Amino acid sequence: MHGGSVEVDRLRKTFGEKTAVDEVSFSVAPGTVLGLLGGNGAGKTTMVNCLSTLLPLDGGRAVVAGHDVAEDPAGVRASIALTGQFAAVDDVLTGRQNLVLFGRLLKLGRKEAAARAEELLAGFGLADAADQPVKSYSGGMRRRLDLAASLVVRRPVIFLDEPTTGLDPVGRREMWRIVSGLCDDGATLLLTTQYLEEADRLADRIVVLDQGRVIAEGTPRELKDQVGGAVCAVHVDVPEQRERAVRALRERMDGVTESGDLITVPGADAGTLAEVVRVLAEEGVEPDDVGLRRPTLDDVFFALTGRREDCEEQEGMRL
Amino acid sequence: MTLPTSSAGATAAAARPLVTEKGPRNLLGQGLLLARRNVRLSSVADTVSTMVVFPVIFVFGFLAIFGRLLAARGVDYAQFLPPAIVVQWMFSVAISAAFFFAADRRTGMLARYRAMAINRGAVVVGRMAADSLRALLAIVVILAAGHVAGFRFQAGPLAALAFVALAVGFALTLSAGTSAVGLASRDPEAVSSTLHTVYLPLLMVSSAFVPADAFPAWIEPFVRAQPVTAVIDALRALADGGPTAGPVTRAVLWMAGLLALFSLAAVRAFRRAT
Repeated sequence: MHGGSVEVDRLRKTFGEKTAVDEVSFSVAPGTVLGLLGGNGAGKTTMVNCLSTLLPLDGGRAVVAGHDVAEDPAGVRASIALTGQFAAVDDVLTGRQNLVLFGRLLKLGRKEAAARAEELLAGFGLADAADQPVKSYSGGMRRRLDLAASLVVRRPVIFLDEPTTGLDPVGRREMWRIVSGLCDDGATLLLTTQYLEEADRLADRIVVLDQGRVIAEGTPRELKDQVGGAVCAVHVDVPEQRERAVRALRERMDGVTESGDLITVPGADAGTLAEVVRVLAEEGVEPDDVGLRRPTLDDVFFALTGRREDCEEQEGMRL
Repeated sequence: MTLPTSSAGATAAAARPLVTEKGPRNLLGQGLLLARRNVRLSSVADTVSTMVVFPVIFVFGFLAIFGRLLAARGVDYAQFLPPAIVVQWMFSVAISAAFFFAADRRTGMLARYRAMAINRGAVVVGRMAADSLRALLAIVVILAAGHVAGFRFQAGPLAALAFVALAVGFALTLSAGTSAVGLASRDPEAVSSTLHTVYLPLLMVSSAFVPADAFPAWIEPFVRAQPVTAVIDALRALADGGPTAGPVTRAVLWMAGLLALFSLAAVRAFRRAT
């Protein structure tokens, strides 16, 4: 199946006084993956809800696989697969019953629906749990079933809203592998994420959203160049020691930033690390943790906006 | 690994061309699939207790408490009570409809259905069909318990059918209203308790458990004028024989008015529910 394109032109969505999406424009070429990157409240989910016809637009225009979302919502729905932020599957039904029901709703015959369910369960590593009720599934299994449910009938455009939020590292890697498979198959993907690493892994292009606006757009490579690559991160719990450490590091190095109990020094080579450790020892500061860290969304925001967002850590769990 | 999305592994069916979601065939077919899902979701244990055991307890419990008291006033309570318990359970069906809608919003199921290429009305039809089934089950259980206690339809089978139809109609009318509340929330428990605080006083201050003239004078006009009394009186007229046209017309007019109002609110809430 060939992917369809997604064109978004100055899309606007407000909730009362609050502007959730503010004149956002971007386009996704057929068969490519676009990552919408942003923290909580950036407007990612609102964006996906508008594009999947769940919310009416308040301004601008969006065309999905050739169908205008305002003028031909039924055409849009027949062209998309949506995997929402919460694994929307029925707990008391089995994995198989869930998939068969979605197949039947989308007009597959009884046999076709059963065959397709079988195929998806096998492909998503759920064959063993196929006849267990979903409430016995792990978080990762639920997410995989949720994704499978949206793929019961193949569509040219797939929306994935934070597919790995809340998953453990193993679950996340498994999900990445499956999503990569979707791209290989030629579908067009629009995925939202809070994780720079995830966007980096999966997306051809990244659009960074902040408070409903596009603040950056480009390939993962281009974005990371703006951030300046990995950093050296120092945790110091004791406030006086931390102040001392920041002062000493700033005297000797550029771009030292402080956020909570974390001090960040740009440059992630062994030399920088050694220098940081030496300075800390000189000042008599006992850090709780010193190490090299790949840039996170937090760093992207800092590089782009100059302020620290309250984002989760890379491997952080959300309750 | 071969992903099930790859062309090689996929069944031909999965690649079928786009089809429209409009039309009555879709509405009915998809609505019934969703109705089956809704019925499956209400667990067996819960259905048995709330739809079978509780109404039976209410019939015999109230009969034991008030039966002799009202016999002294010349009321045959075994004949008087079952229609009231039926109406009480129609409220219960409607509140569970709101509970399920709020739950479907919380889990994201409603958003999933709304973003799928299925008929716009299928979710509503699915809910109504499942509610009707629950309502019918409750009516059958209550009437069976009533029969044991001495309740009889005295106006023939047609009136009995009209009794059932009116009761189910009332359940669906109420469901439209409660759904508007359920669809506006993501908290099934809160929806359920809010609706109970509306329904319990309405039922208490009606002709459900005692005749209207047993109320204090200052509240009696309200008891006589409110819709729950109208529906219960109509059900009693259909069960007991005697003139039915007046009470039934009054009940139907009330229900039509409420249904129009509730449906508007429900459709509004449904469009906004993501």
